[in-house]
Amino acid sequence: MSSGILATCSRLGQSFWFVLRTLKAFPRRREHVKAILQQIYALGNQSMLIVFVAGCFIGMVVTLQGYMSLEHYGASSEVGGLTAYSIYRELGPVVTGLLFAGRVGSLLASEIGLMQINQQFVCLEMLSINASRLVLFPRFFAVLVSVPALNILFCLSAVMSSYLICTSALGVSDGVFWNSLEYRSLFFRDVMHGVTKSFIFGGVIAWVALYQGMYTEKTRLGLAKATTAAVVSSSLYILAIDYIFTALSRSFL
Amino acid sequence: MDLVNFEQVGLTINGRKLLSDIEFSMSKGEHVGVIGPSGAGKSTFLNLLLGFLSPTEGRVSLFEEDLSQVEVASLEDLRMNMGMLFQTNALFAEWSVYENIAFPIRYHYGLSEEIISNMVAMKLDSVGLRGAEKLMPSELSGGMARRVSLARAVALDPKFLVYDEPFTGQDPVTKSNLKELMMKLHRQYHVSSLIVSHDIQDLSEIVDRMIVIWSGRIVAAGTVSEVMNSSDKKVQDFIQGKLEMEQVQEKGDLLTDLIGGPHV
Repeated sequence: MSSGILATCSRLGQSFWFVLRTLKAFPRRREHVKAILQQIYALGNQSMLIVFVAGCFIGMVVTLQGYMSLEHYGASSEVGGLTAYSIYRELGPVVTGLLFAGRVGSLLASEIGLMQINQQFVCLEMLSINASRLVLFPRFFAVLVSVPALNILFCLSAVMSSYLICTSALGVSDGVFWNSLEYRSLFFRDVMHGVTKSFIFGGVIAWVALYQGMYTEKTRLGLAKATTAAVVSSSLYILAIDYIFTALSRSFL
Repeated sequence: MDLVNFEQVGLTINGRKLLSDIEFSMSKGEHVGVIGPSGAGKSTFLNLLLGFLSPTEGRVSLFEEDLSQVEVASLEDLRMNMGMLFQTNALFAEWSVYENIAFPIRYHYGLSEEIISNMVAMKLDSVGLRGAEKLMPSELSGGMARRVSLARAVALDPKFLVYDEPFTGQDPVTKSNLKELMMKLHRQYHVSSLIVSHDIQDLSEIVDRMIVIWSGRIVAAGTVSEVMNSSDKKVQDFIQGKLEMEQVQEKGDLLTDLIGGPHV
């Protein structure tokens, strides 16, 4: 029991130390900046389609469900605002985070884990190349900036799909939809709330995935475990942080 | 000038004494072998020498710099003078042979692609693989992959080459070719070398002297013939392959975990 607690504390300390060293490895050369741009493209741009499609479907589902509930109370004209409110504040950052954790978290953990198993980090160090600057920091930074950007994309696609459903299938007029949206959701209160959350989620995904990869057991099973742990842990952390953030914002706002 | 110097070095991790009382030095131009059975402490010795581990006792110097005192940036400068051949080759699987060798040259020297291309061709020629630029690591045989790894190890024209188990997993013909190639490279690039291996016969053909590590201690040191004729029973048992399992300490797993882990 006590050795288990000790091991958990030790891993926690190790992961804090790891993320601090990664964040300290700022780019110093052209190659490092190039690596950051490559990672933003590989991790962020390559996730745009999946996020856009997910946003469309979720926007449509929330609109239909909301419309059915609101119609019951004679408030169907509020559907645009309600959809936007829930997308901006909760569904956007959480679903984007979970999708990103599934796609990129597993990718990063397995990539870094395989590099570690094949001694490629030691190889880079022996070639006098700082692996943290060239490999770890660019990935961390790319995830950190990609998740908020993808969250915005998700929100836009969800709101646009909601608009299309409302105006084409539910008989809500343009003016009513946009008026409700403008009235219900505020830029700083709602949009920035979601963006801030997604920024934190990005940090969590990068931290968990890179750490799991870096400290993977050097076996085939170890790598599989690390990949699974990266996705499962970061997804659970996202949900837990979402609750804490929402509870705190309710207290302070 | 001492390239490497171990002064009364000891290392204890989690209460386990992995190395103790290591006194070792090697000078420029020397070719030294480090041998011992699996789990004897060879990898720990190597990790200390490369600066991936810090000793808990004593001092390790590389190019006359105390490794416990050097900053990360200085350590990177020191490693510019070193090349390493890995047991796993550590080639980047998604890059071609050309890219694997060109990468460190491009990263450090920022030369034009034409000059880099000539340099890569020269390095590949020196390991007998001219024309293999476009091959991917997955298309190489074990021997070829090792030679590509060797070409990358000398890509930055190092003064000091470190080999980690270079003969492991090689067939006799490839092994013989590899030994010849290593000696040729040593002459061609005027490098010093340290070769870690558990194969005393292969090692004896290419080194000037060797040390035998056993249970974390140096139990024999000297020229090849001095070690071969050592009166120490452990050394004789090891040479004749009579090593009993209980004589080998179970440290292998811990050390494998350490290399390339916490230092990055």
